[in-house]
Amino acid sequence: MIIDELVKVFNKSDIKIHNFNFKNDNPKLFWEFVKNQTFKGVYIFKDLSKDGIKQIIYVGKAGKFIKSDRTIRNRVDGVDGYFFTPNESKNSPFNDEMNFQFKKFNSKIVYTKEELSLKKNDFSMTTIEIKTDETLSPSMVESYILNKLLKEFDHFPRFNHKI
Amino acid sequence: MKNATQFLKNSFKGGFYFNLIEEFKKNDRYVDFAHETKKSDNINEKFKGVQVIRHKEKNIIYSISSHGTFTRKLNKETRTSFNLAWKPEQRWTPSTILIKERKMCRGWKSSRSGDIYNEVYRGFDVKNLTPYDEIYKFLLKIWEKKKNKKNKEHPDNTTPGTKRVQLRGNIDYKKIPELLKINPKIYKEVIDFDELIIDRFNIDESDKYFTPLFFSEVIRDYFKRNIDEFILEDKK
Repeated sequence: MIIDELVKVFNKSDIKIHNFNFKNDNPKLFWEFVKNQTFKGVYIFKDLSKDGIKQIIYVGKAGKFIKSDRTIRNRVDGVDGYFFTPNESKNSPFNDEMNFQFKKFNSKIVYTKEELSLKKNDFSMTTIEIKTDETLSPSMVESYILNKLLKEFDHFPRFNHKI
Repeated sequence: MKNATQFLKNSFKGGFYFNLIEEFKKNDRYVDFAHETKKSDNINEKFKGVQVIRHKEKNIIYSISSHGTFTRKLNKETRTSFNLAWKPEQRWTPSTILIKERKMCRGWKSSRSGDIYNEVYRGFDVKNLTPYDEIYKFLLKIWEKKKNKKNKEHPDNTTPGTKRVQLRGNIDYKKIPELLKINPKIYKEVIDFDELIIDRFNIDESDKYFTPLFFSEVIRDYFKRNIDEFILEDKK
């Protein structure tokens, strides 16, 4: 709903939406999706076991208003990213129970392994690609979504710690 | 302003910023803080919302800052009131505003200005870390006051570089006005409030549509898109 509103504000030449969820159990499809996020923008993690807007559990950003090297791929991937890499865990991004496993979020808050895992079919990721430079910043789009969630839907995504 | 989406759409239209000021003025939610400080000595420093410091005549935007965030506690509950850990005036870097002196100072250089501060108030030579025993004692006190003491942060275990960073980062902002009189070079530029407009848009917790952060990001993008009209000195 929020993303639909955002799409209406901007032209298709400015933003593009990408979605991922596990249609089958192949973890390679997830890494392929991540590998293709070679642009700046905003990423949203969802828990599909929840209803409506409550599905959004995290909103983050990568890149700047101006052209820069920072992409969603290099923000979410790697040892400093949100997931265990294939080098760190043999079933990555799943855990030993074959549930989807987040590694960490950028926060002082400590989450248990259980809190950081989802049934794999409940995990979904949406990215908002910002296609143009010097039009809108990822931090503005991120704050727009978080602002809407809090002010219009009274929803503070579970893994965000600041709005 | 109907909602956040309308606000965002408006920001793509010409005259957005000055229309915004007029709208907030009508609703009694705007002050020119530079002007306010002229009217009264009794200024309430607490501020929730977005502050823009700009030149009165030239369209130079010196700073855009948001004040008030909703945060999550360590126990994962969310706070219903803003986290106001610091007031806008309590920053000294990269810029600060001195209310009593009615001045804005820009361009605090951590190494140069931090070293001057340490020399004047502590008698420390930061570059050479002398007198070492005094510096060690000072850093040990800081470490002992920490709630979460980490061994690697004990002065026995930190590098000379880390010690320099700690000395340059531990500044009492209340001493800045006095230091400025002793050494005006601690800031690159000092501008009198009479040359400035300090737009303050009041946005508190109960605001229906906006968080200060979102409001400031939209304004920032607007200034960045309109570089023919505005010179944005705030490089964030």
